[in-house]
Amino acid sequence: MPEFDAVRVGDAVPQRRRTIDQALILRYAGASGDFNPLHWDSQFAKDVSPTAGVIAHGMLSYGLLSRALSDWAGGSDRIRRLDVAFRAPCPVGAAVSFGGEVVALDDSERTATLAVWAELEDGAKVIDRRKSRAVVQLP
Amino acid sequence: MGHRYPAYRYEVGAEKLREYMTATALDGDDLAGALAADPPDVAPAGFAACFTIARGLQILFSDAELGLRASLVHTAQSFEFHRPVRRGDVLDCTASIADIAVRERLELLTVQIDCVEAVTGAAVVTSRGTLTVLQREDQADA
Repeated sequence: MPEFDAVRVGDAVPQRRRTIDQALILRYAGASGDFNPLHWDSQFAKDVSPTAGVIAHGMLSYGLLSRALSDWAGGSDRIRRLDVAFRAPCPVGAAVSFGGEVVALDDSERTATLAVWAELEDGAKVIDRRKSRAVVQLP
Repeated sequence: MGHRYPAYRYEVGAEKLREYMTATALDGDDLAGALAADPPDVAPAGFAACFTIARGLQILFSDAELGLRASLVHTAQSFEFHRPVRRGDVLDCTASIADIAVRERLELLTVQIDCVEAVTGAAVVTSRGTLTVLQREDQADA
């Protein structure tokens, strides 16, 4: 767990990965209560999906990102806010990388602001780092 | 805009937390361990989705005046924690329309959900979700 005084602008959150298979998407649907057929019905997705196929919930990527951030920060209770912009859709079977980089520090609050992202192997931005920020409380 | 919907109540349950932990495990995490372990006392940040996203959409779709029929895309999401969400929390959640904007002919709807302690009314988490209402065929070049 990083101490505030040891953290510098430019420090990176260790990159984490997850392959988003259909079983994980179904597990997430059950956990979150979001059963939109876009995330499991290929016939439905064919007509309405931006990829013409099943895509994962944006909030699944949000959840995986939040887990990577709290592992770095030393606990879920350290995440003060997490604002993300979703951009590219995440198709079934995608191997997604999650990361973050410290972009600002607040001495009085002892918080770090991080640019955060989720990215497919071809570089497509599922969570767009230019518009996505986390504020993390550090000890 | 500014319209507030009736509050709904949500209780943060241990088994729902456990389900969420297994559904958001990263490569290298110990999934069997997560299933066997006690659920965490503090919810991961993304867990707030469990009481804001599906319920929020249900509220919007049941508002006849809002008239949402088109497909929606989740464009942005923010959770601001006034304190961490903990196992056993009982939350009263109130959705409101925070903003409606049109950008490049697409309608953007921002929904805010204020989640407070049911007993004290103290703020716990503020959710802001932005949905893009996709233009329907019948609206094209209208």
